[in-house]
Amino acid sequence: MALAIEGPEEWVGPLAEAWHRWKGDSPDWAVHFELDETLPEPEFPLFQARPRFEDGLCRLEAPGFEGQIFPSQGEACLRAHPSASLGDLAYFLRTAFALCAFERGALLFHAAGVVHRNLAWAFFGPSGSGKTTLARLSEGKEVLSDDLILLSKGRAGWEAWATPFSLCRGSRMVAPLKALVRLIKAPEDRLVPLSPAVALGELVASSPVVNADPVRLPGLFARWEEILTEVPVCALRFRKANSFWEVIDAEFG
Amino acid sequence: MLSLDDVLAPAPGVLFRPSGEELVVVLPAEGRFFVLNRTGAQVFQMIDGSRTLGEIAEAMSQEYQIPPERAGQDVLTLAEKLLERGAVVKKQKGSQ
Repeated sequence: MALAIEGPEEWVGPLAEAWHRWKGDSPDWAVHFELDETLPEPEFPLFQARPRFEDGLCRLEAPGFEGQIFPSQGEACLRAHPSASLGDLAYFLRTAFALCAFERGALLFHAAGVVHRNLAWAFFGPSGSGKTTLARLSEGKEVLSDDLILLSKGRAGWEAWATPFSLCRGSRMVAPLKALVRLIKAPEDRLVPLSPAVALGELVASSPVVNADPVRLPGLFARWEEILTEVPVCALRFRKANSFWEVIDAEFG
Repeated sequence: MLSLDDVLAPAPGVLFRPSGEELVVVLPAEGRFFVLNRTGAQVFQMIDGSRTLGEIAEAMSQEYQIPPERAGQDVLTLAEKLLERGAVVKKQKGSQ
């Protein structure tokens, strides 16, 4: 997975620096940024805009921003007011990346990825469920990301990849996916089962961008159902301490 | 306030997927989902834009052998929740 990023140097330079680890020889998609002074000044960050899908096109629009993503052509373009922040541009990249990943059979997943015994554990849940906290508490372990990982099917099964959108720790880029774990902050450390329907709903809800597209939703369900045939899912009630790994080891060995 | 004479239809864009006996209902425009249990799933799947809530309640009453009044109340309670969550829309009487 790689995106070619083009546009004004003051925008592309910092983004390219953040993206250098993910820069492939043959980018899958091209993303263009254009300065447009005729647009109004942004009123709020672009991440507050939800993608809209129509006629095979994905639009990401807000005051100061006009973004279009053409999945069938592998292209995306964002026209933005000069005062747009790098965070706004990165959000557009993330949106394009999510669609590109889905079209390539992979999945951008709102989860923290922590490597434990050479296997990746994907901890998911909505904002505030504890992904960053858990990643921070997992001292001594490599963190693929504290917020967004990429799931991709490798030769030996599903793998979790680091992404350029969030904090990571260590140089590790990928590890075999061991389990999907829904995080719940609690006063104790305990693994609890998750009903298949709730798990499916939670996982679909944790698949940014693609889950807003009614056309892609059936495929998104099918992809998660495929993953769930190979990868176990459960919920972890955990407290703010580095003791939950003992509970995980006791259950998974 | 709904009545048993009302007809509901799934809201545009709402997608649902059976999982075991439960049903996952996703509202893509809002990025939200919820899960219905077996009976909730049955009611939701009978909401098709043509059957009245009374007809759905009657079907549930027969299947589960419960008094029609109770089935009617249960269907109305669930229908109100579905409407509140934006998963269904109320059809105007006489519309197709």
